[in-house]
Amino acid sequence: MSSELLPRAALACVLASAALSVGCKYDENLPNADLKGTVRIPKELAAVALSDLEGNQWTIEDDARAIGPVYIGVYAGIDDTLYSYPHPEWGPVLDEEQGGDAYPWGGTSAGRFAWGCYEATVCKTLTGRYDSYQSVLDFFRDQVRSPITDDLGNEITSAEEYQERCFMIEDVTSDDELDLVGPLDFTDGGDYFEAEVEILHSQFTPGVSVWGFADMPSAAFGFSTCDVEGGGYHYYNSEDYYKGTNYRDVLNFPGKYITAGDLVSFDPIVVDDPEQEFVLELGYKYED
Amino acid sequence: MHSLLSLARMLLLVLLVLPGLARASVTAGTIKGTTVDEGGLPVPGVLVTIKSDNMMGAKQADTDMEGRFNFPELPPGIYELTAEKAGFAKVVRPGLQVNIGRNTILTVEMPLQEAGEEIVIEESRPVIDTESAQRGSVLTKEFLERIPAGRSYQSAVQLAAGTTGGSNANIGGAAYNENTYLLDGVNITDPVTGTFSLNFNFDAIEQVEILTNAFDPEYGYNLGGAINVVTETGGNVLEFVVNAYYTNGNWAPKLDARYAADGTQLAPTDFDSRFELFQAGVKIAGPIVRDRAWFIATYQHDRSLIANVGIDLPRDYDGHYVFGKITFQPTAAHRFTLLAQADPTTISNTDQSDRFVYPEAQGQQTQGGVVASARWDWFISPEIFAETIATVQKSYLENAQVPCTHDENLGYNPCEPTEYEYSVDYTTPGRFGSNNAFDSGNYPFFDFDDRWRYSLGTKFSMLQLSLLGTHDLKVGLSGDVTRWRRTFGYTGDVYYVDLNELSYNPDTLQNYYWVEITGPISFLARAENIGAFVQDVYKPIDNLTFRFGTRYDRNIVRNDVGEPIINVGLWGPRFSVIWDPWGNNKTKFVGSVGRFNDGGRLAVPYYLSQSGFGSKLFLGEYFRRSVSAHSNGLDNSYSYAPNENLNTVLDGTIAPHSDEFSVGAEREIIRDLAANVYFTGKYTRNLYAFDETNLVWDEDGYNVLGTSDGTADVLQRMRTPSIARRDYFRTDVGVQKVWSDRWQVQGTYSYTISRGTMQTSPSGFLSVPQQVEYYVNGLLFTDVRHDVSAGFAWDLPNDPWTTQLGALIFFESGNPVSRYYANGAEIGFGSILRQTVGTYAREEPYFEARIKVEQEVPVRKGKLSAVAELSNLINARQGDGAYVASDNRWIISGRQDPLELTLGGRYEF
Repeated sequence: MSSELLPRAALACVLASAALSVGCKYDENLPNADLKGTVRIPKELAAVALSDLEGNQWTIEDDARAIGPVYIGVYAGIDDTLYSYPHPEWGPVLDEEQGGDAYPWGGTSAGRFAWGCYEATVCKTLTGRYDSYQSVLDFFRDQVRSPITDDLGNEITSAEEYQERCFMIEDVTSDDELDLVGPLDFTDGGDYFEAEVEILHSQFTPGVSVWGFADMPSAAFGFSTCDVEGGGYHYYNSEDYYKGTNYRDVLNFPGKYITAGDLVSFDPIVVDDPEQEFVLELGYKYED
Repeated sequence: MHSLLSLARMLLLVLLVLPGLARASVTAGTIKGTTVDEGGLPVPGVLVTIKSDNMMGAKQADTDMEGRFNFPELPPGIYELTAEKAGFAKVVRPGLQVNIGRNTILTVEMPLQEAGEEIVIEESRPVIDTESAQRGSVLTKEFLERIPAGRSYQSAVQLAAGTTGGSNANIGGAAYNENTYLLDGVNITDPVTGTFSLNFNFDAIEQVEILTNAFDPEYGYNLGGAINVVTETGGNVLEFVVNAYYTNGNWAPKLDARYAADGTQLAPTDFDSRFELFQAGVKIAGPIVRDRAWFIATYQHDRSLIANVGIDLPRDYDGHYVFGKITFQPTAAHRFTLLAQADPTTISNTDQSDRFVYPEAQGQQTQGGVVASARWDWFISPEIFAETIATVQKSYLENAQVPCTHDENLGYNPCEPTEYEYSVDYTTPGRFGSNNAFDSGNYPFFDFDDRWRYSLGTKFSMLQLSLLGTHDLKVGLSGDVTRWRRTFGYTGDVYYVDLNELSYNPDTLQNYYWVEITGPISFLARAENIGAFVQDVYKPIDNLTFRFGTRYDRNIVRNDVGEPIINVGLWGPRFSVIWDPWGNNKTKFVGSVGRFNDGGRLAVPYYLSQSGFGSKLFLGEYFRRSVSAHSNGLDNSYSYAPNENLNTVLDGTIAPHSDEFSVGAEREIIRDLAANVYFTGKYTRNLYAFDETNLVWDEDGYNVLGTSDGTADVLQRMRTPSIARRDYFRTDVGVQKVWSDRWQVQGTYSYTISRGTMQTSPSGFLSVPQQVEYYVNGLLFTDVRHDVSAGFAWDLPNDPWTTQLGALIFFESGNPVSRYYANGAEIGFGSILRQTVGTYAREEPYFEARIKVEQEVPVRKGKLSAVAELSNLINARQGDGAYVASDNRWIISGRQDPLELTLGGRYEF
């Protein structure tokens, strides 16, 4: 043996390194897929009729800020006979008052309830609807005609004050963390408001149905899917309230929450290929 | 030298004679080298003799035709080598340091002189092991005694490059619970948590080996490092040591502080972060039969009163560590060792998570354990030997709250007048409160935790085999059985009320709630491991070494009904090349690759057992106000966790593993001092992770919109997804000097980049929840940090009044603390967290400096020493991430480590 062995040794070292670093690919074989698509809401259906205690009535038109949370689920199938609109198939009916469980395989939303910086905003503000605090204040003052107030009833007029209040309530230091204002879910698509959505990690087999609905505001700008006694709890001096959040079975019993004015996807989307992007149109306005 | 035929015969011998299973142990080192004449030509036939106070008798060997000699399996310590041959001067090399798992390689020059002349050479002690690629450090007894490590080897472990953290260190980019802890070669890693499980007697430690990267297969399969403590054996001279030390951290201002959400330091608190420590020990060691049987026995008492930041009550720690070992060598071919270590400890007031600890909530915790091992070393020939070790280990953790009493004479935990005394019933499933509630009587919580490990095994070594060079071959077989029984609960029929609603009325259920345990209160998990390794040190030429081998482990971890939760086969191939370009043992270039695995731990089946504890929460009228979901509508029960544990494991999970590479160089730049530079990369993949399987989330994984199975339960599942990973890259630049000329130093600067989706490998449940993977889609943290560690020891030349100086310096540039929030959906087992944008803040850099002075005073018999040690000289803040439940988020918390003064004394003869 001599030192001429060294190049061979080095080569062996390199080969061994390569073999180890490549390793073996590991596939968990999870029956899951990520589904991508677009939710479209016709602008004419997105108009929201509001009223106040004095009987005044008005309509918010062509304003995506008035769109409530959009819930999208992946289901085994859709049944046209359960309600006046297509609804996910039920499982066994154990409670006649709420129908059967639809057992969603996956789902997502476009917008969610956030944040109860003031008690007046509990279950009224959503993510993905506002690009600034001023936009929130303007919308509630000018469109909803119910300005945001503090616990003493004083109207909040300063965007900075609003931001500081939210930061203090939520213990955050940036708008990115708070996620109340920022990129908008819906963009203007001509006759439609359009939002890109992604259903992550859904159970998937070819032929699944994508179905959804938008919880549109009531005449008093309330939302049927929001639990005012749910979510985080705020307790500070005289303030004592829950910040509100959606009910946890919205996609299990959607029929329970769909109320007059809500928008429902009338044509279910059947997905055979998870790579196929879907377009879900909420083209049916439910009326009692 | 032996031929290939000899190798085959020896292998057959292994299979026939040693059918037992064994865990490999590394407790010895090697002296080897070459005798040469003044012209550099090898001198064969030289009689080489080595002796040491740590070795029974002397060992002799004649150098071979190449002038080579080899003394393997030497107990660590200081040795003297003598080389003699007619026609040459007798050469003596004293002060040779033999370290665990290391080769002390010499070139002994034999001058032509008149026979009988003796030349003592004390220069140039070997500092580089040119046959090993292993990264890490060996801390000798002499060094540990001189540096200000607070008489804790764990405080000095950070001296090894790539080692950070506290008593359970993070080594080589791994989590704190991914290391292996060895005591005299016996695996004493906690089988449940993967952390250290025994407190050692400091006075019994001979050496501590910290292996961080590129270690041989015989050290095991862990993802992190190995910490190998080897104890003293006694000697032919009776030795007696008694010592006492007192440490006080209360005499300088303490600046404990907490930090606001944006990282701003709030005003220093007025909490009394009390710090007092008293240590006392005694050691006696010596011969039972000279050069045949030695013993060592030590006792160490640790008593401390230390309060955490923000906590009023100190934690009263009272530990008793007992160690004993007998080594019996009836013949030169056989050595038997019996070892036992126990560390019974009592801790009072265990609940320091809340400063508002009510007297009735005080408790006492007993913990500790015992390990006993029997070892047989069989030296079949100077180059063939085997070792067999059998080990039993039991550790326990008993935590029971102290019930209040109306007996004033007892002097503790008196009951309020309205309270009634309680007799704790540990067998009846009880009820407990939650949140800010406490019971109206007392707080009878208990937790009994027992862990066992049984190990048996053997290792077989054949050295100097000839086959296209020389081979040092080792094979080993090992087997472990571990068990974990845990029983806990809340006893009795106790009523709980909300602190904020004191007008409770149990009769009407107004403002009243309780939780009942509905399932079993005891749990047993167990695991089996069978492992084998083979490794070879191949030297095709004198200055080139290949170390290669592999280990295979079959690990089965079972839940409470015996079902295998983890059943994995672990292959761990390792390959290294070491090149000494000039063949003078003063330089080496190193390259290594290897795979390291994680075989799981008993904490995992805790969450995956078939039977769960089960609980049922009952609410009174006040609490029912907030019921909005999950009420069964039938009675006043609010939520119900069934007895059956619904958590699962995904079929086909694989073992977490790290693929590691390392390149580096070492060079002796001045006498006895070497500089080194290394680069290490480590790709850890498929770590254990848990996700939920049935929840349907909203757009950013914050709220739950539904459940795929229609239940309110959260179905957790263990996986080993590819996304559960860590990448780790480290560059080290360091120096190391062996003990010579009355001083020693070692220090390293490390630049580290690590990123991944996992900070720890879970011993608990929380790791990579599904929404972190699929909604954050990012790395959990990226850590770029600078670390400096250095230790220094110097004996002032003022004999016989020897003054020893020691210093330690640690610098860490701090970790990033990403901002985590509990999810809006509280789903139990600790809320699943999500990460928001970016990195929140960094912990402040941490700098620690310690100095120690020890003055020896010779007395008529033996010597007396006085010790003074100052720790935290600059009173650095020790930053830390902390979860603040009230705020539902992680923030930076921290404290000023108090300036501590230790005064002590020692007498020995």
